[in-house]
Amino acid sequence: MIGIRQILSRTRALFQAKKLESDMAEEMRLHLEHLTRENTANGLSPDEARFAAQRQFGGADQIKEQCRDGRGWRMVEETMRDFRVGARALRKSPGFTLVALITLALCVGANTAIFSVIYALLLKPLPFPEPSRIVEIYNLFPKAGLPKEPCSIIQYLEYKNQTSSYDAVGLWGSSIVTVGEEGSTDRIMEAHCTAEMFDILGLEPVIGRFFTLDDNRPGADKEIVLTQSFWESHFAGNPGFTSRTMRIDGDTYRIIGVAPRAIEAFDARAKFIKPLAWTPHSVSPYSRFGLNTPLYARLKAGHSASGALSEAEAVERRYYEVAPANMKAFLDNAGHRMAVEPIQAERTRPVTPSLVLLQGAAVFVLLVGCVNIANLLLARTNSRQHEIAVRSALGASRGTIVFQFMTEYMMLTLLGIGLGIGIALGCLPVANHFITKVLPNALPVGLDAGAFLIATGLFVLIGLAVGLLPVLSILRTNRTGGLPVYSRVASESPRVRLFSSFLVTGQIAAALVLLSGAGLLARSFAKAISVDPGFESAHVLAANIAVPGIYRREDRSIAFHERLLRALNEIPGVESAALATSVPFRGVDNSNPFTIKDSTRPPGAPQAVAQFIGVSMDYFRTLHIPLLEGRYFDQSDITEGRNAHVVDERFARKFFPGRSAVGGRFSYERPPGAPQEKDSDVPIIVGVVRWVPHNGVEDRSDNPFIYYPIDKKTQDGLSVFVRSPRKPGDLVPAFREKIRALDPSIPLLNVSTLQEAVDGSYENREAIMALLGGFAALALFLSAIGIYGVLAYDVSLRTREIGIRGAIGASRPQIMRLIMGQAAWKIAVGSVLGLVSAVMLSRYIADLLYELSPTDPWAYASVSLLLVAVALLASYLPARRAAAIDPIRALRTE
Amino acid sequence: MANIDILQGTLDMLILRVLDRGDMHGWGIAERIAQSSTKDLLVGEGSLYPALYRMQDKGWIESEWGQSDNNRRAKYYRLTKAGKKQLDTEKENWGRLVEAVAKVMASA
Repeated sequence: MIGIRQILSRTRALFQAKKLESDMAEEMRLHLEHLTRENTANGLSPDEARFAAQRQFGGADQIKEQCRDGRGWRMVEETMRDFRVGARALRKSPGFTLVALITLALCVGANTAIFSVIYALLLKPLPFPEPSRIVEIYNLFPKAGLPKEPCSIIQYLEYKNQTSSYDAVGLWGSSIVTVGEEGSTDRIMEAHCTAEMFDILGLEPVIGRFFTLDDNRPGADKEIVLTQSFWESHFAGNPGFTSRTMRIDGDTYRIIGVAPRAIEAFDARAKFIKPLAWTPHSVSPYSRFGLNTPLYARLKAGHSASGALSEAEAVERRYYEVAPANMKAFLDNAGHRMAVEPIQAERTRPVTPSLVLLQGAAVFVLLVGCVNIANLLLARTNSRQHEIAVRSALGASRGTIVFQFMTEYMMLTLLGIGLGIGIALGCLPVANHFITKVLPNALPVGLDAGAFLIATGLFVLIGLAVGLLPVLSILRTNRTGGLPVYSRVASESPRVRLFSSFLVTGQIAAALVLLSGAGLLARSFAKAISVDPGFESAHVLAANIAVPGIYRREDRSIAFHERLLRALNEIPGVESAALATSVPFRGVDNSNPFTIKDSTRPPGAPQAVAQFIGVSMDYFRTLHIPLLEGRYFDQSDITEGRNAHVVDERFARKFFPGRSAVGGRFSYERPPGAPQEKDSDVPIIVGVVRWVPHNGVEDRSDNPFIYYPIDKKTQDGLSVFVRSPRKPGDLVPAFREKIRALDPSIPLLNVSTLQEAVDGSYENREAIMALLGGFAALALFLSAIGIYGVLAYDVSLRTREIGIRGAIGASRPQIMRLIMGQAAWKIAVGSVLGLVSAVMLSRYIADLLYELSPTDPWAYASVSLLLVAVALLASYLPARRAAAIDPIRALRTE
Repeated sequence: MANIDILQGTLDMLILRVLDRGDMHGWGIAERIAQSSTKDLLVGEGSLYPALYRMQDKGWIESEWGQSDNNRRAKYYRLTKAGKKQLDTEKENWGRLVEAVAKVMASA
């Protein structure tokens, strides 16, 4: 048995091998010297004495070898020797080494990068106690085409008081605020929540305390809790700050504590948290569906989300029973229901399908890559039969040879994995760029130790399997152990050839699956970017400004809008300027239900919902949004006190089919019991304009847009636009200067051209397409190398045979056909297999396609053609080489 | 007279016994065994050194470079605690073996 001491001494021996060796040699030499001296003393001449001593001592090297055995861990030492031999062998065939390394690095890099993201977002539990018990509760209105809607104060209170599934229920929202003294333009993200959120997340303050439910009422002390990073970056982690205050949106708040870093995994953007306080107005029954704050809860131990859901449905039913008729109708028509979902799955829902798809694609690339490696190894091992035979003849056991080959191969694998992980690390910042766009609350992804271990372990296992197969299959065929006389004609056994044909066929199939996916995404991308944006994006500069509190008062906002527009129009070269509540393609989040006046809706028809956008008078002229009917807003709307609205063509088509929408009237859904509108307040449609995909072309809600005069409401933020024939970049300094001159405390954000806003909306689609396209290209390239490699190797083995064929009269085209024919059936079988699998797998990509059927024949046809063309080219090269073999020389050299 | 072959396994015991009397270098051990057995037992270098390395690995002995009596460099071996215990065990086993063998030889 080996003890700890022995392991230690043996490990030391490994690292001190050189010293121990020289010690041993010295000891032996001294012993010999001693014997020699003795012999001299016995009267022998010096030479004779030395020879006698050497005779007496015996074979020093054998003794040393036995001593090394005694020192232990000979196996490890031999492995190290195998490594040295392996490194030499790899250096000797740089072509093989390079191709294998690049293949490995790319396959490992792609898989590790995507796996890291999947691990961080989907697999790694959130850093809260029992995170699976934290759920989000939200509203769904599927028939109204609305996205997931958060909850209201009144829902929070009801779920808190009328349910028994939860330990705690709390609200958590966030917004951008201005911090600092008067005139500051520092805009940062804050969160506001009810005090239960700290229990739901299971957090303890790092320092100080959290606020309590008492703070969640209006008029309570204004207290805030900082996040740890904000505390460290702005207060240098100084614990003596708790009595300090901070100015937020003009109010003074006292800092009472610091929340631990874990909270950033819940909301990565918030810098501090303030109590969410509500007014009695927000708990009136009318505001039940004034939905704007996400509701979270911690399930009681042993309770399930589905149980909580049925309880939630019961709460909603109780409300429904007593709701006024028009509210009942709204809920029915919109198909209202609740959802209770564990937060991790809920948060990552937008990215999960893409990530799973990309990981699937990366695994296919890995498969293709593994096939190449396996084929390369088959060929390499086979071509070393002579070496194997020599080694066996010199007494190496089969185990020793396998071990030696595997050591060499594992060195390659480990090096490839290392390079691949380097590539993955390089890719993560790019991945994070897209993740923060889609999941703004998620923390950036790093290479986690867990993900790293899982990935590396898997790759090593796969590497071992891929390496062992060819090596064993070759050795099995080499039972005779004799030295083949004609080593170069030692042809592969039928088994090895069958195996490698099988691999190449599978490789073609896998490549075609990837190509099909990429083809579908490319076709759908082309469709998406060819959608008419409904306006002219060239020559328009857009920006967002935050409206300082003093201009948010009803009596001041109109004058502020006027001053702003005047200032913008003064910029030299500006043709027109406009304001709006949002920038096209950057998204609108203001959907409201409404009813068309004087139209009887068929019972059970879905609730009419539109997205409302406030615009200034010159908005359509500035963006060049074509008028289809009626007129744009004009001065008469104000002078005559008309509640004018402009709708888009989809609205007109949907609600005024076959007749003109101009002059049509509609009303907002109003809380029941609210006073009747005056007739002049009822919105009237004055014009119909071209549809603009404000939420990007991917918006599937199909809800139309209604434009209202921006002066109707006060706004927290505005989007400003200027059109000018000058280069947009030249305009930016003047633009900034004008806004600063107007009021230096106005923060100017996201200055860009309208074209950039449009392009930005395609960025995610483009990224997924580019990634999948990259994977497909890589798979195609690897498959081409695979076919080429297998055929070229085959030709080199059959040089003699081809020479004989040529000698007895086979023409060049015949020989070409012979080789190409072999490739052709592999390509054919592989393509058919690939097409069938691709069609079967296509439903997983359906969600990512824009207006394209997952079985779009053009996509499949074009990528199949591409694959066959590349594969035939790859097989043409070895075939041509085969045809060029000179029979005489081929026969003579062998 | 021809030398007696050292019985398998007894070499370790002999080395331990020699080192029990004091630290000694390789050839010293061989010489001591030869002297004590009046040259009936000759330990070849080919068995001595592997045995020393093996015993060192097992922790029975340890080694250190030092100066020999006639002022030459030599590697000295020393008995460890574990080695002393091993010597006791082997001595006892040896005694029983000799007795047992003697009994068989006497009775047969």
